[in-house]
Amino acid sequence: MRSKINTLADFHDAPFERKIVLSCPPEHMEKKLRAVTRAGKQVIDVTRIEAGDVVTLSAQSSLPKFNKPSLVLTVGGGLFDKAFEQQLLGREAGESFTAQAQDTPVEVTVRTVRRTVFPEPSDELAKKYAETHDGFDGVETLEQYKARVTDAYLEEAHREAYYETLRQVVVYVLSHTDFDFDESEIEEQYQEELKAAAESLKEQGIDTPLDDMSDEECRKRFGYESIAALKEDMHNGCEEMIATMLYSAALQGVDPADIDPETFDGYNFAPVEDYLKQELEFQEVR
Amino acid sequence: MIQYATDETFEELVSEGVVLVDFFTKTCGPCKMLAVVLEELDDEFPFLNIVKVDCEDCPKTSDRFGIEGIPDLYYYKDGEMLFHEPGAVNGDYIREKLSGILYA
Repeated sequence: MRSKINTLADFHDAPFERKIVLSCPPEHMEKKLRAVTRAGKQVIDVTRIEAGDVVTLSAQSSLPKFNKPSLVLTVGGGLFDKAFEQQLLGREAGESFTAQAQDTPVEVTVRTVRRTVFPEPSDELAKKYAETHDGFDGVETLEQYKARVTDAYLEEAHREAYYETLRQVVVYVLSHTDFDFDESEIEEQYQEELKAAAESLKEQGIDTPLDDMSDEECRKRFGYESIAALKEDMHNGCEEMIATMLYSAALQGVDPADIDPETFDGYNFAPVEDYLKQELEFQEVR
Repeated sequence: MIQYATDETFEELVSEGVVLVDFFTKTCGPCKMLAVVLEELDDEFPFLNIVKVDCEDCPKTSDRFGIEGIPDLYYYKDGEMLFHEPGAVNGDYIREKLSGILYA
C-alpha cells in the first residue's frame, strides 16, 4: 500500500461502556409468538372499531377518493388516509356520521368491521411451528420455544454489542490517528467498489447502471437520497477502509508497503479484541 | 391472504383485486427476509392477495416472466401486471406502493 500512518493513537485511550446488560425485549418475543400463532389466526366480525380492524365503508364526498360505495381499509394502517382513519376509531358497524377529509365533509356509513384474532400460544402450536422452522429442533413446549427465542436473541445481542464496542474503539483510534493517504490509492479502491456494486445489482436482476439510477430507485435500494450521496459515502468508505487496513497492519507489525489489499486481512484487531475480552462484562437478564 | 401458486393456478390467482406476486426459492436468504415482511403485511391487510411462486416448483411461470434474480415482487391489479421490484425491498416501501394502487 502507498498510504501510511504518521502517528498512531492508542486503543487503551478509547472510551466505551464496560458493563453491558442484555435482555430480550417484549416486542421481539411478541413478534416471535405471533409467528407461532399465525397459522391459527381467524377473522371475526366485531361491532366497535379499534386500530387494526378492517372496515368496509360507504363514503360520499365531493372528493373522488372519498366517494366510493364500498371502501375497504385497515384502520390505522395508513394506506388510505391517516387523518380519516383516525376518525373511524370508536365508531360502530351500522353507524352513519360525517367525517372530514381535506376540510371537506365525507358522509360515512360503516358497513362491516372485521378483526384478525390470533389464538393463544400453546405447547401444541409451538411444537407445530418448531417442526417446520429452522433453529427449533427438539422444541415441544411453549416454554422451550420462548427459551430458544430468548437464547437466540441474547446470543445475537451479545455478538452485536461486542462488535459494536470493537467498532467504537477502532473508530476512536482511526479518528485520533494521523494518516498520510495516497489519493490515487483511494480512487482505485473506489472504482473497485463501484464495480462490485454493479455486479451485486446484476445478481439481483437489476441491469440499470448506478449512474442511470433514479433518486427514487436509489432510496428504495440503498436508503440514500441520491446517487451522488451514495457515491460520496462510498468514496469516504474507501478512505476508511484503507485507514482500517493500515491500523490492522500496525497492530500485526506489518509494513504497509508489504500489504497486498487482495489477500491481507485488514480486519484483524487481535490485541484490541484481547483487551476488550478482559474489560467487557456482559449481564444477561432473562 | 397468502396462497401458493402452481403453473396451473397462477393466472387465476392474479386475475382479481390487488395481488402481490412473490417469486422466491426456499434456500434464498433475501427471499426469507421478504417472506417475513409479506406475512406481517398479510396480518395487517388481510384483504390483499399475496401469491407466492416457488421458482423451482413453477418452472413454466418463472420462465415466462424471465426471472433472473430473486426475490422478485410483481404488483397486479385485476389481472394486469403494473410493475415489479427485483431484490428484497422493505415493508414501508411496499406499503407506499400499495397505497397508490389500492386507493388511486
